[in-house]
Amino acid sequence: MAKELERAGLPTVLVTCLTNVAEMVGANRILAGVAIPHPVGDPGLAASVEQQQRRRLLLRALEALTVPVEAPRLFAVGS
Amino acid sequence: MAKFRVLHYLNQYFGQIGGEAEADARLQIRPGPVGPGTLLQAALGASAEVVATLVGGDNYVASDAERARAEVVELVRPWRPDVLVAGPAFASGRYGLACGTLCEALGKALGIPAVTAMHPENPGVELGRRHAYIVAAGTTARGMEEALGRMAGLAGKLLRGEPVTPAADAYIPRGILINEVVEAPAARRGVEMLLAKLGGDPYESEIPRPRWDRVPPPAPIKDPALATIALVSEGGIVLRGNPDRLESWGASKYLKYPTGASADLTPDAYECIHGGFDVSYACADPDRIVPLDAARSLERDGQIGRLFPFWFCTMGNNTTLDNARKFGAGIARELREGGADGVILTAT
Amino acid sequence: MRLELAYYEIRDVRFGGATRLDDHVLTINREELSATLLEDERLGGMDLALAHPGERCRIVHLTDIQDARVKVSGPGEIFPGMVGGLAAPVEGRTNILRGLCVAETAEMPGMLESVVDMSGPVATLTPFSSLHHLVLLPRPADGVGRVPYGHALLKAGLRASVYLAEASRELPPDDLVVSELPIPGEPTGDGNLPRVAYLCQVSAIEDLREIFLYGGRARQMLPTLLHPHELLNGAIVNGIFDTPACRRNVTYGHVNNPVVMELIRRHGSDLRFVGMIVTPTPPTLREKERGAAMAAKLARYVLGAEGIVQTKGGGGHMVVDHMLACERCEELGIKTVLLNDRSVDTADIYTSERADAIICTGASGVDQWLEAPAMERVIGGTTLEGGDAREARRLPLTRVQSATDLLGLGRVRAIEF
Repeated sequence: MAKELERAGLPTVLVTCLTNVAEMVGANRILAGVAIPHPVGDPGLAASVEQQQRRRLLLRALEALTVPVEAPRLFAVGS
Repeated sequence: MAKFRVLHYLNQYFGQIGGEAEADARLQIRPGPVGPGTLLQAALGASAEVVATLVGGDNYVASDAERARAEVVELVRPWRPDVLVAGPAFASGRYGLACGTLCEALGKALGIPAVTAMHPENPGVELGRRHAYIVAAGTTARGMEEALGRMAGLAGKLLRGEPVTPAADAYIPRGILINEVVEAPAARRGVEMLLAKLGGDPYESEIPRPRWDRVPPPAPIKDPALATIALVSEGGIVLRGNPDRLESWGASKYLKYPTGASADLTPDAYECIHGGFDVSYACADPDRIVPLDAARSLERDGQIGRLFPFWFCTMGNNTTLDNARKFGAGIARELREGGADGVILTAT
Repeated sequence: MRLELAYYEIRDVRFGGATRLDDHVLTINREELSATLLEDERLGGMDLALAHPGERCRIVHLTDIQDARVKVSGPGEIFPGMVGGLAAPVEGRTNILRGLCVAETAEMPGMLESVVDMSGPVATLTPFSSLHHLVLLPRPADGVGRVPYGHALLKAGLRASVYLAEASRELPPDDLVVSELPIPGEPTGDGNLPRVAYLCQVSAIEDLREIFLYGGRARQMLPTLLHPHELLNGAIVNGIFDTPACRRNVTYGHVNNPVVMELIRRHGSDLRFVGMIVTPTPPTLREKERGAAMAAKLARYVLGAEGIVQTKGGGGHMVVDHMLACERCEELGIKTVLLNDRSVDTADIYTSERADAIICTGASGVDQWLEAPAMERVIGGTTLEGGDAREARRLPLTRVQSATDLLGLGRVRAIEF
């Protein structure tokens, strides 16, 4: 789906745990998600900490949308 | 005995209209072979005749496939072709896409087989291989004679109802898988293949690696604080009770829900129906898949200009590639029409 | 370690007086078996039915299938940790009734369907159509939820398996297969033969979608070693009911693992079968990478493998673990062969250049449909996908039990056109 969105000209960041799959399939902006059942969440964290993590992930995703890329690129979540 | 009637499609260059400047040339048809069509006629021999040549600009078809599909059927129908031969397109992407589009349109509308030729990495292959037989060709027109020869041979067999295979007839596998019953069980074949590999003897894998096409990355957004950002997911988040009946295995649709005034997705209103993983975490908090709460809060704080008024969701478990493409294209259309600037797509 | 597999050919099965095996005919005391199985309080009722190859009979709503086997000598018991004690069943003798299987059916709304036809075109594609079936139709006791019911019906199948096999205890076998496989550290035999191991991927996602290893949950497991004889004696049983039938690794497949049986057959003549590794399919990339690295190092540094055959535990993201393990093994100099199914419409989401030796166990996709004829008799339910189960219909291949079996029980290979 990511590639169809990109084909239509929409910068798209794919947030997924299986980043190797995303790179292979050819999504251009990739951000590592937490896990398959909860890509932007972590039930192991306290609720407020989980919310912070989600915010951080989204901020990083937004950042990835502003970066020009030439080919599939994996954006690290950072500290 | 009547000769088979062949329709040949060429782009503006090979169809002798002009070069890149004529890439917007409308679809037009003329009797008999044109340009490389004469080579095609020679390869076909006496049993088939190139009754007409359809010519179109590379941009004309590639930029508006809907229009091209509608026009081409009416243009071609009076010529009553038995088979369509398109190209060869070699490595030319737009030409390859055009060939694929026309093969599908004419093949379906007229019920005729379609043969084309292009380089295996031409984007037209992905689009066209289910509908047409795509002969594997090189990258340049130096391979013209060989490609036309193969196309003629393949077209002949299809017209005579003879069986064809990728190996014997040099076409790119179409993605149609047939299960055949085999004598030797898989485990035996596996151990034998391993012994060959260990012994340095030749072996051939039974499954080739898939090819994935590349999409040029869209230009970045300048400033998210001024942008409209949309949330899309394949994680199977639906209204509680799944009233829209999104499947847990093999989705047949995508859903569109209003973000409304909600600050987050709550478990009393939403659930996760994905068949590919343990859904308990997402059911406890659907924002773990569709991060509406965080997106809202970033919007409130001004880091996102505006959240797109709808979020989109489908379900990725065992969903076909064809459907995934359709959903992606459908969602893309709605997002573009609604003025979205960028997308955050969460996958499970 | 020496394990004798004593096979007893079953040519017919019937209900009757005392449970016994006589001249290749197995007679089953229905009341005695039901009563034994109903000792499990989670079950409120139990019907038994028989099906024979060639009958115009359809079995629906299948969950798991076993064969009938029992350990008659040597330490350890069959299905350790599930039905048997925990001592490892690595050596001795195991009796197996060949030509028979025990199948459990259950009406669980929302569960993916599994069908076996005993005749007709669908029968050609399932290995179970050529076996006599004892079908268990257990019903849950009042108030028993889906998960305990699922566990109970698996237990019932395993207990029935042992109960039936017991009928062979005092009888001489029709066929004896002797497996003498080393344990790590022991001499392995002819040094000129390549050292080959087996990597068995198993899946454990959630309730009713997990295997049991020695009766324990595998969700958090890390790759571990198993002696192949433990596998043949039921160390792994299938508790995965809610996955497409065509690739559901039922217990029958684990205890009759075709790769293990083939490697045993060739041990000492073409290769040295040095052992097997069980590896899981966790839900994050990091854990998948860890699993692959650990499985490969067990193969290389503990088993000393030069070559390895790999099988999958399920579909979807499990192909990632499959490919990662292949890469890690190849990097350590171990040559790999993978058994893999395929589907053009969903495609493998992850492949590797190093996976250059793949055996296809069949394709299950949107273009695989079968014309299933009308049947005279249906066991396991009256409806099938909303219609009368007896009626002729188009059936997707994905519903046919083990048609594209990941362990190699199936009979097909996919060709692309």
